[in-house]
Amino acid sequence: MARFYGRRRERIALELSRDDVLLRFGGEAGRAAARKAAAGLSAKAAAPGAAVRQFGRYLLLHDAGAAEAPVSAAMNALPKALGRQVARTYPVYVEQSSGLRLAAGHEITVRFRPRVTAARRSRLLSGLDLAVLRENPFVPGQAVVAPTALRSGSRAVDLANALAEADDLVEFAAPNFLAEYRKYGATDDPLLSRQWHLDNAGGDGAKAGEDVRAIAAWEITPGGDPSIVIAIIDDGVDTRHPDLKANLWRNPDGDAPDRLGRNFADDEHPYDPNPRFFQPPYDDTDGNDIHGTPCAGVAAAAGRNKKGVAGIAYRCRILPVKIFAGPSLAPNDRIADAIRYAGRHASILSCSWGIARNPDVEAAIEEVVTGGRGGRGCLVFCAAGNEQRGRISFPAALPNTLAVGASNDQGVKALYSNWGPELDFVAPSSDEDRGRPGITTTDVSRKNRGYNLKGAYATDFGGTSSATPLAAGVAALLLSVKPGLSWRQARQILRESADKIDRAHGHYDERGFSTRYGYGRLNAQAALLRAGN
Amino acid sequence: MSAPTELPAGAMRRIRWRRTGSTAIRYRQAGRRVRAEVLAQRAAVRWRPECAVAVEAGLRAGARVRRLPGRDLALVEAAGGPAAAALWRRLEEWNARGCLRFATPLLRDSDSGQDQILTDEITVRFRTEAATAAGLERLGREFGLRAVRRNEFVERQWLLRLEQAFGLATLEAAEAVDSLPEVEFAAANLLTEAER
Repeated sequence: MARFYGRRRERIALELSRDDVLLRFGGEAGRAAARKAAAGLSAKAAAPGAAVRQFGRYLLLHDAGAAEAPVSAAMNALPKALGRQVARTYPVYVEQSSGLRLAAGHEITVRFRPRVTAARRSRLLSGLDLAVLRENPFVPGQAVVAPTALRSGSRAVDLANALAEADDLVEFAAPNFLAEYRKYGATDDPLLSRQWHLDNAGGDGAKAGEDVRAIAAWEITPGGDPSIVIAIIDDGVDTRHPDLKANLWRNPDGDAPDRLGRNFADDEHPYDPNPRFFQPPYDDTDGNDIHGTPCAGVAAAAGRNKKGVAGIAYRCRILPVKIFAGPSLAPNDRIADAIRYAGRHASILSCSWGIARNPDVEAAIEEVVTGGRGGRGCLVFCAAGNEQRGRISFPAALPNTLAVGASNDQGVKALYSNWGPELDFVAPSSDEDRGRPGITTTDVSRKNRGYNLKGAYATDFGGTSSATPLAAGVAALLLSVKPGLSWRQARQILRESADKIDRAHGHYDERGFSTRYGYGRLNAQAALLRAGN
Repeated sequence: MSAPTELPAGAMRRIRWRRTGSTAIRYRQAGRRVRAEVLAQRAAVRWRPECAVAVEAGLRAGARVRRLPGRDLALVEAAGGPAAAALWRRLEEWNARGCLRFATPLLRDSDSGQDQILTDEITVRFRTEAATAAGLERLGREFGLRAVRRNEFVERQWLLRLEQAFGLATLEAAEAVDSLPEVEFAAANLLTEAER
């Protein structure tokens, strides 16, 4: 049922929610009763999908048909003793523009116009059976009012509207809603709590805060800007994945055959960048096209879509560029051309692989770094390698790429992560040799394919393969707020804002450089703040 | 030629002087020294369609043959030393009869430790667009290199093919072309393994 509040010309549209209800527990022990009821309902998991939030003596209950007790499993699961303490139930509305829930209690906030006398205020309020509960201590003429006799249900919206209609007396009147809020940083993606690399809250032996500071960065730029494109140069990206397809780059040239990216691994399907080759065992990286899809998710899986995971740059775009196919080896000239192609459409290239040195690939990287982004240069992120050796892989070792190593959820270098003088920084990733967790991200959505054969999300991705698109995503946030940065300026900011982790063993020199950590672990928030100054 | 993993004399004819050990070689790639190990017990073979049945059956008799999907290419692995020598003798015979497009040993890059397949392709970038036409003509005349395609993104860069490339001949040709004055760089277009 659609409702409105506010004045006629400034109406705010509401939709009555059938699946939410606000319970108010009465009496002296109302707050305790609400707490007890919340704990009981949560523990019982009264109904799948049901959710309970407590605010003081109020309980906001979300469940199918919650507004109508007979059809709500959660309402019916409320113990009788507690049920008797429910003094009142109130309707819950959904504000149509934001999708946020507003629970209407019996209180109304009203602000009278400056020269309205106390007598006229009193007449208006008593005519509507309203009484002042409390005057606002900061704003003269503003008060919270409520009906003198509480009846079943809430008339707060109607009464507030009636007050607002007294235009000559009232500046505004609105129900004093219990308002759902959306934390600006965090997203509503259900697997976000498992993405410790973005926001490490501790638990399961993890050290809180050993992350890339994504949530804080999202308060500056929520997910980045869609104009920033990250090329995932790998074995393909699942363009039908529900958490990726919304963020795929789309060729602005409507006549171009490369609608979503390119496939340089297979001349028969040059414009299909999807994973194509699979062989048993289907979760093995070397024989299957399953590596690019998790990389893409780490960088820029769609966020705030109530699905799966969020990439760190969850509003930026993904350009899938396929260079590997199953167990087959890749020709150097095709790898080089894939880089050239990516440099034409993307600001940032993410390369979670290492190969033997090759002059054509080297030339291609030089071309995109000097000529990409209208001469400002693409940022080319490359994996340092997972061989646990003191040598950075090619092309990460090149001076014009950004070499990314891996740290774990304890804030120390992952055991496998290569080190050396060419390392730029590390980013959080797996460390299975120390029993530390992997990265939760998107996985090939095709049934029985991918790292997780039973679903479209993997929880055990990792290596410098995962650290690299994470770093690329941090750079995407940076270019979202400062698109004019040259690649060198961006690299400098990322280096200078990195956290010097593991100082005891990192042996950082006077420049702040460590062969184990480069300039430290990427800090997305600090990078954005530094860019802003 | 004592080491069982070595190539037959014909395959090594022009590269012998650069050898640093039984299987290690050095070559120059775009002006940079590269060290690699020749894995002669493993060969990459592309045969002509008219000889396919005979060549594949012959190879399977003494070695393990794996077709690379989408590459029109077979990887052949001999069981041991004598088998490897026999494999290369057979490949040399088939090559002499014109049955092969190329037969090359696998290389292991010493820096990265990664395996690479030498093929018959060479990437060449000329210094100027103006030098390209004459350069291609020269490469065809002096080295037997034929144009496969112009690079999609760099106009003065071409992919060329060495006819009936055998052994390490593609590496030799790439190195020779790389030293020409009109060439910015030339390198064998290796099929490369990637660490992920």
